Amino acid sequence: MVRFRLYANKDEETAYLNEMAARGYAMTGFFAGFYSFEKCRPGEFIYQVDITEGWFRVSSDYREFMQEMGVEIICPWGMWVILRKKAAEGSFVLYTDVESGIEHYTKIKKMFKTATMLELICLIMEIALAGSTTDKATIAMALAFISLVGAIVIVFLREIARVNGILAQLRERAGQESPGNRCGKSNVSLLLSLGLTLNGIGYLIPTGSTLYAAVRGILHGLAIVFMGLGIISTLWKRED
Amino acid sequence: MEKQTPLTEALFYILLSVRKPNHGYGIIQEVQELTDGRVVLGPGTLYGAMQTMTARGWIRIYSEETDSRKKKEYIITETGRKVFAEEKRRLEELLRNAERMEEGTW
Repeated sequence: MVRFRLYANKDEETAYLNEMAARGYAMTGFFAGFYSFEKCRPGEFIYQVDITEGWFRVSSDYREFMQEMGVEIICPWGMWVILRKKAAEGSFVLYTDVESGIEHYTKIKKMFKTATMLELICLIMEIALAGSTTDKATIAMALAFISLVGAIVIVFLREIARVNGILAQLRERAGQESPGNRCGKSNVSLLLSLGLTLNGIGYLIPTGSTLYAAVRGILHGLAIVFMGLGIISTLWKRED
Repeated sequence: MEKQTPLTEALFYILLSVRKPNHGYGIIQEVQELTDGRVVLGPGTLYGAMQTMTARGWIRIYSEETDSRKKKEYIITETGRKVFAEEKRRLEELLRNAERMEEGTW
């Protein structure tokens, strides 16, 4: 069985994998958002998601260590690695004290910050490209990328805000000064991201036939509605 | 050099558990026994701590078995013992001063 999911939030991803395992579906593979599952006894495995030191790989140290702990490495993907352990062998929590929790979420925050910076650089380059040409196809392509990258940036910024909230709570538990808010909610609405995504997809649809033009029109229409709602909701929250 | 004490509870008990050669799973078990099950180290926490302490030269690899069932054993170094002794002095001071609390109650 294959399911498509996009998670930026590793805690939600972990919860999803454990919920599937509880229902008798053990996750065995991942590729670009596609999770593959095999049947298992309900609750046979406990899943955890860790951040790696490498890119699409874990060090041999890490691999050996986890093996010794009875932890199975399902697959590294990007900066993440999905792990599981047989529930019969006892509880499976990766980070059990405040200090290592802070370290873990600091790494996650750093990764999202770097990724956001790279996305912003892409965004600027695409905007420059769109401004420097009169070729309609190139402009459409650039607008598509700008919208999609913009959508990703919003998701990442929200994730950074969430991680900041977790870090502030952990620091408070450790008795450290915690600047920044503990609510961990970004003001920027996810609707804005959804609108941008639809807008981007709209630009990717080729011009020509009336059918395409109609689909494109619907997508852009929906995009405007969602972006409008997103902006309203963002400003609304700001006033609270 | 960055400030190394106070040690976190995890670092303190891990250092104690590698006074004799010990491997990852053995460390978790020993820490659990020493604290009557209060401190149970998660694999992520232990891995991070071992990496940090190896980098700082507090512990080192004692043996690495070459057969397929690899079990790395770790042992405390001289530096590690020094850090631990310093922490012990700090804890003794805390405990000594804690006794003063009794003076106020009669």
